[in-house]
Amino acid sequence: MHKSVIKNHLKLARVECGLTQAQLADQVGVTRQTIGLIEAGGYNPTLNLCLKLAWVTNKTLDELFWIQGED
Amino acid sequence: MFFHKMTIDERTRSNTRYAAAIWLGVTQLLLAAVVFYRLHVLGQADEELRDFQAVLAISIFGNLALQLILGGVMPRPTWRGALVSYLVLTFLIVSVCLLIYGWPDASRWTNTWLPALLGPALLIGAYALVAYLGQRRIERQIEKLDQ
Repeated sequence: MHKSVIKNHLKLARVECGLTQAQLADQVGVTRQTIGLIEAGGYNPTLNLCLKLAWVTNKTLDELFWIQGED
Repeated sequence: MFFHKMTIDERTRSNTRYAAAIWLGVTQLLLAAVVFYRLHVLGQADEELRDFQAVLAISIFGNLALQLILGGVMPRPTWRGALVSYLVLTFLIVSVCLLIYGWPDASRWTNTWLPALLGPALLIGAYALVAYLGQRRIERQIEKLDQ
C-alpha cells in the first residue's frame, strides 16, 4: 500500500530567521506546541497555516513542505 | 495575570472536535447499555424507559443526519435501490420478530405488522431525504463560491 508522508524544513527555516518556536507561533497565531509538532512531523498543518509559515519564514511552500512517498 | 494567554488554533480545534465525537459515541453506548440493563436485567417495563430511548434515538439519528447534511457525501438511493433496501430490511425485521415472538395476533396489528412494515420505509425515506438535502447544500455552496 502506498503511504505518503509530509516532510518539512520548518525547523531549519525558523532557525535561519532567528525565531524561537514561541515567536513563530505568535506570528502565525498558533500554539508553540503546534509548531513543535509540525517540526517533529507529528501534525500536518492546514494549507492556510502552511502559507502563513512560508510567508513568515520567507520561503516558498515547496521549500518548506513536501510529500515523501513510501511503499 | 493568573494564567498564560491561551491560543486556540486549528490543531486544538480539531482535537476538541475529535474528543467530542469520541465522547459522544461513548455516551451513546453507555446510554444504550443502561437501557439494556434496565430492560433485561432489572426487568423494568418498556414504558418506563421511553424518555431514555427517545434521547438515545434523537442523539444517534440526529448525529447521523447532521453528518449527512454537513458532509453531503452519502449516496442517494435510486427508486430501485430504495425498494430493494426496503424489502431486505423488512424481510429481516419480520423474520427476526417471527422467530422471537411467533406469529402475532391479528388484533394487535398496530403494534406488530404496522411498525415492521412502516418502520423501514420511514427509515429509508428519511435517509434519502437527508442525503439529498446534504448534497443539495454542498452543490449550492459550490455555486455560491463559483460566482
